[in-house]
Amino acid sequence: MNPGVVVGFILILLGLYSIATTRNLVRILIALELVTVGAFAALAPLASVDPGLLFYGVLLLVMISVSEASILAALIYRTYALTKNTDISTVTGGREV
Amino acid sequence: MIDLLLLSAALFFGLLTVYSRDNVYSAVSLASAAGAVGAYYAYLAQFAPAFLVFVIYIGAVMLLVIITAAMYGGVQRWGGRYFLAATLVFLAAAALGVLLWETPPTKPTPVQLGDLLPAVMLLIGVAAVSLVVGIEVARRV
Repeated sequence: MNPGVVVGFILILLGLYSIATTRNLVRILIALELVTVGAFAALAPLASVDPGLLFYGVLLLVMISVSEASILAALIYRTYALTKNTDISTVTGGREV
Repeated sequence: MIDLLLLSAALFFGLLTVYSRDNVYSAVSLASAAGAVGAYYAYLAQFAPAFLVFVIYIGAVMLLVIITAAMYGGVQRWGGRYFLAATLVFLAAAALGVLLWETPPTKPTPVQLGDLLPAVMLLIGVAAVSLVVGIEVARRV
């Protein structure tokens, strides 16, 4: 089995574990990006099969990660601006603006 | 050999990301893991995906993640230390740029490494942005 796939799979599992166990919104953002890094590593063996497909796979992953990171950063900013806290239980706090 | 080394570096920094207590250390080791994966792509001679990973992913997404982690807890306690590290990195990058700028192109090296000047300019830019962030964070303390 290719070592890139193994390392990517372990990184994805680590990211999911971190999402499941943390209570901080910033750590959720970091763990989500760790899952994306693991997907990068798991995609690497495609280089020996089809490099063009690998390029578009990486491009797609980068676009997905940009959108998810901006959404989570906006959520963190909103929560911190309204409640001065980044704990996950404060997401429901604050008010509609 | 080198590929296993790069992958184990990515794995090590991934473990450090999950198990470090501080958000900023976690974000920085996440960027290091992404850099190791990008270097693995470059080792596989896939330069366009490596460019995407290094410039777009690390330059945009990782910068967003690190700044978010720095703004909402973590680095405030070490604003002075972060400022010092950013200053050192900026000075080193500027010295490297001056060195490359002033050195006349001598005899061609046996291994053509390509033009290093754009990469060093990019490094100086990232270091300058980091310096500005360090100043802003240190002023808030």
